[in-house]
Amino acid sequence: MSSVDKPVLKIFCSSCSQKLDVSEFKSFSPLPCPVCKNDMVVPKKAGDFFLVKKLSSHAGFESYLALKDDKKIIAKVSTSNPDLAPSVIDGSGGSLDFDPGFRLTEKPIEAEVKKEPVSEVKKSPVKSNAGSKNKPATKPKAKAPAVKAKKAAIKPQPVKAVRVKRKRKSNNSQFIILGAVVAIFIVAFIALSGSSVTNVEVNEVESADSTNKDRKTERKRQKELEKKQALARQEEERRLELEKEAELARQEEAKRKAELEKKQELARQAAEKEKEQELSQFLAVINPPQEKLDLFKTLPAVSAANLKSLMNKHCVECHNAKKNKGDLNLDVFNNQLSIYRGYEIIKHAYESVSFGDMPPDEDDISQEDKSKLIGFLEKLIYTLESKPANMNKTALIRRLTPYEYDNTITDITELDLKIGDSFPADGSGNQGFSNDAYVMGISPILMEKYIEAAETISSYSVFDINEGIGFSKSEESAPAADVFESDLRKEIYASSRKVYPGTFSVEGALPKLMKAVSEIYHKTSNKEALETIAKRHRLHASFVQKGYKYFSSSAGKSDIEHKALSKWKSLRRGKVEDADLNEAIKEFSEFYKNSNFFLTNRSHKDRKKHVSLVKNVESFFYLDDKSAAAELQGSRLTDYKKIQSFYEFSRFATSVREGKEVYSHISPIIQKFLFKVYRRPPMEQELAIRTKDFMEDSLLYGMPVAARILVIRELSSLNFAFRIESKKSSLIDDYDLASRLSYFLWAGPPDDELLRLASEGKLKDEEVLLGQVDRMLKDKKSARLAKHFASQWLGFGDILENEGPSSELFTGFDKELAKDMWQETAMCFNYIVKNDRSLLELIDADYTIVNNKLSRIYGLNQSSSSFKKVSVDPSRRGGILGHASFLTMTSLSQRTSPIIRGNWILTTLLGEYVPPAPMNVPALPEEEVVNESLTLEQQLAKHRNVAACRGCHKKIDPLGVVLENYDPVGRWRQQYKSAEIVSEAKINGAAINGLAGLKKYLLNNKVQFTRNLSKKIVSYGLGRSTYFYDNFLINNMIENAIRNDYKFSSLVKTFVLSPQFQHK
Amino acid sequence: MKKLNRRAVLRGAGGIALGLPFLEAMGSSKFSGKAPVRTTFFFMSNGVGPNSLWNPKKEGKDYDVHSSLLPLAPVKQFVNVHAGLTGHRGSHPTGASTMLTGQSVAIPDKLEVKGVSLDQIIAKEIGNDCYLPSLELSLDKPKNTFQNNTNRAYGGYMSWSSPTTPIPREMDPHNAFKRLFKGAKSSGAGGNYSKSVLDYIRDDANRLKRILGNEDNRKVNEYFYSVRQIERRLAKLGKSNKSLPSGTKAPQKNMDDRWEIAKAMVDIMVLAFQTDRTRVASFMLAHGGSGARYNFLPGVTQNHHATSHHGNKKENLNALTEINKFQLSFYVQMIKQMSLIQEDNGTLLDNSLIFFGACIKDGQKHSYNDLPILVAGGGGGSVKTGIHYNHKGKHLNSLLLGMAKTAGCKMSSFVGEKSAII
Repeated sequence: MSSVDKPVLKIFCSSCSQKLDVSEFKSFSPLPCPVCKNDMVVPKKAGDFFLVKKLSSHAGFESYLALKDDKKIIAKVSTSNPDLAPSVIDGSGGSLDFDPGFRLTEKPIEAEVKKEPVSEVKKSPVKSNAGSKNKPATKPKAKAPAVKAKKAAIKPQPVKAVRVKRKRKSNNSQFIILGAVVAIFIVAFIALSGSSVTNVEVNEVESADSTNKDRKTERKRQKELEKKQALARQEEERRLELEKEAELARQEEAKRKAELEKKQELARQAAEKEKEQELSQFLAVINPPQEKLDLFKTLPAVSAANLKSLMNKHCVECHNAKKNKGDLNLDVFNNQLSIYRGYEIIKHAYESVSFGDMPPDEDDISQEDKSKLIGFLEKLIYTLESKPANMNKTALIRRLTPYEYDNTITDITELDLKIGDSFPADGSGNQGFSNDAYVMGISPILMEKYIEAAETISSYSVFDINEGIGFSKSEESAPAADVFESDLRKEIYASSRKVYPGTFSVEGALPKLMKAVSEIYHKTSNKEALETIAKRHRLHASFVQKGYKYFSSSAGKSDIEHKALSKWKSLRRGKVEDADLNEAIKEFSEFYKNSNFFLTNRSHKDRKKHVSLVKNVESFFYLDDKSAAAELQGSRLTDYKKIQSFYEFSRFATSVREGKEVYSHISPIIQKFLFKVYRRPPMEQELAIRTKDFMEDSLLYGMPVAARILVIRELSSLNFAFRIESKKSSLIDDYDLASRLSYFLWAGPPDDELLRLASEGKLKDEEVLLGQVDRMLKDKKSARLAKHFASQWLGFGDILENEGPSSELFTGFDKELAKDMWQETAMCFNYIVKNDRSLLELIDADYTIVNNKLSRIYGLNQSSSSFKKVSVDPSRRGGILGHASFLTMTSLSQRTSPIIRGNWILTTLLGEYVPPAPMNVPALPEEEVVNESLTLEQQLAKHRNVAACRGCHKKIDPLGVVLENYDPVGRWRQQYKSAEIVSEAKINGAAINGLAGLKKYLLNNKVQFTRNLSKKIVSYGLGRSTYFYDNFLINNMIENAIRNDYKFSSLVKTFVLSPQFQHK
Repeated sequence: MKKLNRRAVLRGAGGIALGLPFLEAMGSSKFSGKAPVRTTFFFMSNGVGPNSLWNPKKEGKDYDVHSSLLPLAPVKQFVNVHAGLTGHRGSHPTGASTMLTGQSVAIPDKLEVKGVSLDQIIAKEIGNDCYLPSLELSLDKPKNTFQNNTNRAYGGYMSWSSPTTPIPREMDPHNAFKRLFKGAKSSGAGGNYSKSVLDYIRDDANRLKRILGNEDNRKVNEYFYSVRQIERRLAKLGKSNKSLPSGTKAPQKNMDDRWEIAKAMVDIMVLAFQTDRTRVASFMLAHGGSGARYNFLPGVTQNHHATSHHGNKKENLNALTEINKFQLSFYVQMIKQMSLIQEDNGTLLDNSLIFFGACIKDGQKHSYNDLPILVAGGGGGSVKTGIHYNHKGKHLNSLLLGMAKTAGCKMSSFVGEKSAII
């Protein structure tokens, strides 16, 4: 159908104006200009239109990038009815970013520069292979509601935020009305009060005169009166006049107000309209198909078979495993999984078929089959992109980055130790963030640093039996283990003496107890005898019973105990002589005392030997709660506290066997600590194990050291250093959500409020969640978003590490100034985040935040050494492109580099992919070496004339050239090397001039900017690279940004509500 | 309540005592048998430029040195120049990761290589008797940026213990010294609960491993491996039969002069070998594709990477030569120092192999033929030195295999390469 009668097709190279007849060339194929090698595309003629590239195809229509009268447009072409003339969808001309490389007329038509930045239809950044959607709709208006409905079902939009916004708007206008009314009242009041003053004067004059009765003066008075009356009349007239004037003014004011209101209303409507237009244009670009496939229902049965049969019919003949033409095998879609994995292939197939590249001979496929296949592939792609939850299961566990580690320690201990600085640095994932799970491993050196760090932190820990584990401000104030323990022991003995009046002590009570027990051996061990014997030795019966139990059965298990009791055991049967008994007691006491000595001074091995003896002895000094309380009732309540601490100690002394009570006391202490460290409640088993270990350790080393061991153990553990998410379901649980939120927005652990909401199961409630996002962004901790997210994204952290411009040439530049530069950018970013300003203020703002040093560089008037927000001339400063940080870090040591600056804007700010410079081509900086005979622009132009460089440098260079008025440390300059600086350049034929022009250009590309930022947010927030199936989310983020005046929170909120954020 | 500082607490409680004083003289300074061969790998960044700036003109013995090789003059009798070796295709950053793994990286936009690096293979085989199986040092942090679809972090990692485990490198001489020589004293009465803390850590991880799915266990395994390495080291504590020379001082904290830092790093490596705390070391003088600035060198105005794309301009080539000489001077320092240390059978240098090399020859072309490679040291007596070889296109892996064999590894091939040269 195409070959029947091709019209003659003539075009002109846009670079060298060579005339070419391209009738014989295949439409849409790339064509280098035979003269100047300019890249051109062979257009396809349709009516008055010259189609350049197909964007999308729908039932009956296709949309194209096209030229009409050398103007760039998006055209709609009917495929079902060839007679229907093509029409223009978008005619925004210069703002359409594509370069066909040719013109239709010999002479270029002057590019018209539009006055108003009409919101653009912008291609999503075209990646070499990634799947971005370039599909302006054929019927944008009609499609938009359907899109909304569909998205509502998935619920990723903070619709409430939209509503709130609108309400606020109307509030604003009410304010304006109110203000106007107040103004009128003030004017009226001034007018009225003026006239009343006159009245008063008149009255005063009258009353003064009426007292005078003198006739001679009557006439005079009369005259005067008349005169006065005339005056009064005049006054009255003037008053009326004034009133009239006031009335007029009032009317005028009302009129002005009405006009103003009307103007505002119009502006609002215009803004609204513009927003709508922007939105619909954006939606038109992303334009998802009406329906979505349910891969899990229809696909295996009907659709997969459909796809397969179509592909078998038209594609597989060449693209099979054997022939593998074009390195492509399409004979792989046998099941669901293969389709998921085959996204890239499907995308490729879709593009090839819809652009008409495949099948190679157009006659091979019927129009019906073709649109079927295209429609199907389109749906498939949309489905794949919008169902990330099903594809996202490989989320890896993430280790805390060194800075997250530091923040976490600071948030849970209130210590600012900056230990993470000494950890080995991490690499980064494909969006440039070091928190990417894939690239973070753990190595012996890091493990060592973890343990060392944990050890250091543990030395700040304080343990209190009632307060639990805490941290003191300095290591010195943490109580020492041995001091604590010996104090406690002293207390125990003191208390013990009160419970056991007289001579209770190891030296006193032990012999008494052993004597009592030996007596029991001789007598029958009935209860009465026990009571009597206990009374005789002035001991508590339960104490004697415990001792009896110990000395007769459980004793002697360990080596030491065995030795300690060997004499005692030999006495056990038969009549015992006092001398023998005393010797046995003495020996036992010695061993016990030595054990105590061992406990504090000897090695681990020795301690282990002796600990069971101590444990056992102390266990029979233990009184259970009831008997102690009973004994103390009334008479000795004042001592109860001390007894309590004795009691606590005894509980640990008997920990293993008397476990239950200890557990109930110590377990909550440990639970509280683990909760903080794990950022979730510990599991039952985890808690049990740690409590038991704590009790054992406290026997060996005392409680404070046991607490320290626990701190070291937990701060070195996987549970702390890694963020391990619950495996229960694909939807993450509330605690994990709290952590995802806090590590995203605060680069640190969730605070008490987040953990509380998680424990109440409320965090997934949309309203609660969004409320938390608002709270978190306003919290001072959101400064970390600037410090870590923005600094890594925009790379201005480099300024602290790189050597920077030569301080000899640029006096005043030093490390301190570099820090200030860093600070300005971080603070401006944080200002936007904290006050929920428009993210476009990163590009253009009429303020910045500086101290006196930076203010001097900028030529501003801010004399304070602390940072303050100041107004600036937006054509000179404001927005990151006017920041010294950006201007400095993209400069070389002795001069500026327009190429580095341009490249930064293109790649970092707009997220465009710029391929590496080809090998054998010198890197960028060398090419700029200053050649005295050429101006900078000429040198750059030289560069651009090299074929291998032109493709990229025609995009890169102009963006940097327009910033030539800023020197390598960001100062304004008019001249460079005594030549006047020309800060004008052309991008896509349109001239931009200076920073103001650049800002305008970037604002025209705000969707691309927002897309890039969204992508960065997704990558940073999830700690992984972004993939095709994030496109749907990213589009949603952009959509909501447009709806909400580009407020920063709109991106964050859309992301936080997405399946990506809430699923594994 | 009485105040107490951290050190006292740890001593009192028998801490892990990582902060304790340094190794003191103990035992003899003799090896029971033959002294082991110590291996070192120096990495230089961004290549040396054209042949004329590097290769000696005369082949064989008594070769000439000029341009970048000038600093070698006083020690050239100990050094072999291995010209004509071919490496692997790679850019500035990925090259660093390919050099010792012997093959190109697996996935440019992730962080994954295809095998274990040679220094780690040697460390596993002969380094296990030492306190540290291997020592990794660097002057630069890995770059955190991502450019041209390639992860620039590759440039910071020369050693890989598994295809997915790059080994982070110590960048602070003070920390490196501390890591090597700390804690030796605590091997007597101290080190009490360090064991139990490690037990706890390992047991906790073990329990967690059972709960986690397969895909997460890669991380957990790395964690386990790290814990085991520390346990192993604790077991080796104090078993070293060598002592630090008297008067040795730890390097200062927070040094910021590149020159001083590099010198201190060389000192540390020599000390580590001398005291047999390790037998394998590697030192990156810059990361692959480093943009470090050497403005303190004469004629150097641009950063290193930019200078290496010299465009054949004279001033750039001169600057590059200055940078190369600077990098090479630390290699020479190490050779000098090691040649002065006497062991039973010859000097420490005689019992060493010190490799110096870049993964690209000419930064301008990213060429990987005729790489600039040097190997110094007698390899325990089996290597003759002072020779300029031209291997005419043989693969670098041959030399690496030769080094591993000389170092005592029982391997017959390295990444498929079976012929060994040394």
